[in-house]
Amino acid sequence: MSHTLVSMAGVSKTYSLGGNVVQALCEITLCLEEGQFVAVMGPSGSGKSTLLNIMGCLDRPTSGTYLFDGENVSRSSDENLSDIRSGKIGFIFQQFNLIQHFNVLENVSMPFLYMDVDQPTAMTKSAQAIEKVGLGHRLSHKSFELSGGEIQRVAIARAMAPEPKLILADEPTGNLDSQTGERIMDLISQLHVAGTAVVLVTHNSQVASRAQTIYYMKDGCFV
Amino acid sequence: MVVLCKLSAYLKIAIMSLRLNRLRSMLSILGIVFGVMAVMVIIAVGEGMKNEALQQIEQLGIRNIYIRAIEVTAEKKVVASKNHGFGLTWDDLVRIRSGCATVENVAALKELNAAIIGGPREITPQVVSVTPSYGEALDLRLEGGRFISQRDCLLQNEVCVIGREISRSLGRSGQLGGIIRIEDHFFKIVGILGMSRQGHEGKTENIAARNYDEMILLPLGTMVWLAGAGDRQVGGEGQSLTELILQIDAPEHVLDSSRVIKRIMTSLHPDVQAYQIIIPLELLNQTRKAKRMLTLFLVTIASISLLVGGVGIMNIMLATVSERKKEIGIRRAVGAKKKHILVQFLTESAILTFLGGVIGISLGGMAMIILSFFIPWQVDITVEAIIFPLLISSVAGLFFGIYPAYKATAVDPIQALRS
Repeated sequence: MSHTLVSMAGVSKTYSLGGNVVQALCEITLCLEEGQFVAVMGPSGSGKSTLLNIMGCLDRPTSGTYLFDGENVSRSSDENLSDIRSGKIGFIFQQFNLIQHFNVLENVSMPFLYMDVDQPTAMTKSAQAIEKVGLGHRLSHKSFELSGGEIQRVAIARAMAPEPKLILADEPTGNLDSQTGERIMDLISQLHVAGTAVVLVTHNSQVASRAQTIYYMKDGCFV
Repeated sequence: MVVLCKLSAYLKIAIMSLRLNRLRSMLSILGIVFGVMAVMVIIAVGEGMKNEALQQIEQLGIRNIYIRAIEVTAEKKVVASKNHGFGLTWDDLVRIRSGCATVENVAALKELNAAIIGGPREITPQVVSVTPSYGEALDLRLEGGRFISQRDCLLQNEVCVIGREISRSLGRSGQLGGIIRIEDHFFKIVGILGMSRQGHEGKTENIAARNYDEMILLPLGTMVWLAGAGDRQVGGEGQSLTELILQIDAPEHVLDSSRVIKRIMTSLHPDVQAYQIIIPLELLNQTRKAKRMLTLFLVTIASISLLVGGVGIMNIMLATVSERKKEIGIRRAVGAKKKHILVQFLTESAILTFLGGVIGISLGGMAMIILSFFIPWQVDITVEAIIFPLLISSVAGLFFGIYPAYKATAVDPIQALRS
């Protein structure tokens, strides 16, 4: 019996930009089971990233209810949201977002700094994750010494190292050539196979086709 | 254990970040470096100066009151001699003793201009004649032998007590039982003074503690032969003395007694004040007061220099925060709370200031070694001269690091990640 990981009911998000109120998300209702692989597609400005930010507890909805892993986080404090992100949610970004002057191991082990995990465990788990993405021989390389594909693999290792329940990938292949993108998608698919729920935001329908379910968004709503 | 690991991880991250901008980090701490250096040097030099003064005052004895003869103009001498004889006299001593009940002990000293025949060449001994009570009043210690006795004074014994340096430079003839020739008389050494508590001649104006290492003390009375016919014997009314020492029974009576003594002296010498009264206790209080003022002054300087240094750190840390917004966003995304970001940036500013403090202290130490060649008193590097600047620099670093660190926590992770 699978367990509901993400449950959104009537989630809306509005911003006020220079006096204008912008509706970024409009009454989104979504349910995601543990281990499910979902892709979200849609044109730029359709609200994909906002959805991902709220789902990833980086942002709070203006209205509606969001239950993550059974806990209502719609009105949670910043501290509480950080607690949920730490260890339960992993992010993969289009811009990779590694810390340049850190080496591979330091980047991957960063999430453990904010978790209640001792140093040896953190190092072991980080090294294992790096091994899984095939960069075991590059532990002490700085990120600027790596190729784009390798950098994204480090980012995947960072997201998966704490063994989160949910991985959110925002255009993970957007800055990579198609061949490298394929390999990255292989890795993400493996995460899903291993039991992690994955939400993938993309423009690319080929990339999206890897998911079990595809949602289309337009003007802040699912269509 | 986990906390320690995290702390070391924060330190590691901070050091890595600071090393990325090595030159900028070094420049940002210059204010702190020089501030700490200045505070340290001022404290150490001031402390040395104070100790020097206190040592001299203590040597004079806080229960003592000194009355010293001073040079006056020839005209005044004439006026004074008409009335009551010139200078300090034995009579003054007797009157003060009977007029002031708190005076427990009295001693007198007379400086003599007498040549030592065959004496040591490298030093010029000062020849003085003193009362037997002098040694007790000044707490002079003997290395060997005895001090001048009452009997010596009464019988005009030709004996002397000499300072260590003189004894050493005279070699064998400078030992107990040796003979020193002063003018035409031969004085037998009956005592050698112990180590004087002060190594060198007093420099503080007014205090002028004596250097007992280079003194020859004779019984007061024997100078009859040495100083010519003009002086009469001890106890004689017109005896001209150089210094009177009045020992008061308790330190708390010193100031009151000094007023009584001043009154007596004024009545005895109404026309010309050919003496000065030195009250070591009063000097001690003045020195302490001066030290308090100095401390206040130091705190002001320290605050200003550290304010400037702290603002320098704040400036750099603000620049760092705005440059590292992306890093802050990434950290927040992987689970860092605001407090984690705060601690990270505070750690960086604390390391910067602490480093500034350590460099400042090292430079301060070097500056003091160089300074000690140029200033006459000893430079005292006390624990407070090290701890105080280090402490305030760290506190200043933390204080001025708070605002940039707070700015770092206010960074919106979504915006930061998008940038």
